[in-house]
Amino acid sequence: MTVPWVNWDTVLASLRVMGWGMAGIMITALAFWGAIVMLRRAFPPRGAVGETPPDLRVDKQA
Amino acid sequence: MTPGHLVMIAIGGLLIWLAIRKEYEPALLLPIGFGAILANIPFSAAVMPGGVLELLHRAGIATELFPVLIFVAVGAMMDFSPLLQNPILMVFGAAAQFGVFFTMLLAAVAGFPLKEAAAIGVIGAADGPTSIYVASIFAPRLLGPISVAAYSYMSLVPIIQPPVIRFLTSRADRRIVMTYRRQDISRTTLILFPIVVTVIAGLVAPISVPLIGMLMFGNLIRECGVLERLSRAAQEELANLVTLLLGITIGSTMRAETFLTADTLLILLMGLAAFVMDTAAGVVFAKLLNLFLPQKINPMVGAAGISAFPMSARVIARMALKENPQNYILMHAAGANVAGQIGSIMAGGLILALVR
Repeated sequence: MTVPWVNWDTVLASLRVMGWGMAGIMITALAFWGAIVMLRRAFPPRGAVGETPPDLRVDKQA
Repeated sequence: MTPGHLVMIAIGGLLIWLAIRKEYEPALLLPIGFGAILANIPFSAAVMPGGVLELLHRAGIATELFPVLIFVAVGAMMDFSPLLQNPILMVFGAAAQFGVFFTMLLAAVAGFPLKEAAAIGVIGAADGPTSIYVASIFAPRLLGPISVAAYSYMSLVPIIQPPVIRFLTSRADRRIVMTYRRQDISRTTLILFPIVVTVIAGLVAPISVPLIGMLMFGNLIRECGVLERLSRAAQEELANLVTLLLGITIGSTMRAETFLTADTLLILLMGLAAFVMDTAAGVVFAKLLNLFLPQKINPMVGAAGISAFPMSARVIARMALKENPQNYILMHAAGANVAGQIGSIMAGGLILALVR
């Protein structure tokens, strides 16, 4: 099928950009997600560091 | 004066009317509308070489300075806490960028060259400064229609998103309850987040550094806690001043001979397609995730992964409350929405990196 105004090379290049682009953006998003999780673990809010979890306190009392 | 000039002056008037009467992005559409009028007065000295608008265009748009400065202001206004509290929402900010790439393909099929197709696709980033930034590099001749499409559809998010969401979700989907548990985020995390994001984004697409870097610089000023005055200046004076100059300069590119073409009509249609596909991709991706997640996500939150902040989050939260008056998903939607802000810049950066 020939469509006069369509440049198939451009369409193919767009498809390639779509594939790489969506893959790239998803991988970056996952990297950001991982970074947030690591930052939160490494720097918990004040008061949370060194706090003994309640279940352990119960064990010690027992 | 040609009929084309008259039509363009009428279009400028229409944009001013939309800004004042309908309050559609008034801070942008009003200066754009007035700029269009200034540019279409025959022999207007404002747009002649050396004229004030030509000078602003050369200094602020051709150099990409204005959109980049806007990002400092946007960054200073952004609160990433909802995203940091629930980082899974980051993936919606990525999924909802599908409209960018879909529209690029659509534009390529419509016969636009690759770089222009890419610039048109970025309307789907739902982010005015990113659209302007990419268009000024890849398609300077289409800067006017692309900017008008981007800002117009951003203001029409409350009209575009609900029917697409309703079409793709059942009532049961829309009634999925998401509980919100407030989690404190340490100041160190808030400060390190913009730095880490800039480094990761810069490693993936170095060309995106001016965009993401300035956004995160603005956010760092906000979160560091010692630059209150600068943060306020970025949020108010800088944002107001650059918006003012950006709008009227964009308007000055809307001249009859370049704007009144079939291309403009196509770009406006494809811009609409971009927003529809963004919304659809976000919803479908959330439904897909729900197949694997033990705690279900309301698929409407996926649609908030576009960059139109905070309008999209508000629209989604309102829709959820309409379905179930006890279901407050505003914070989840806001998290996806700020993720969309980062995602849209990444999409723009990747387009710049991948298209040659």
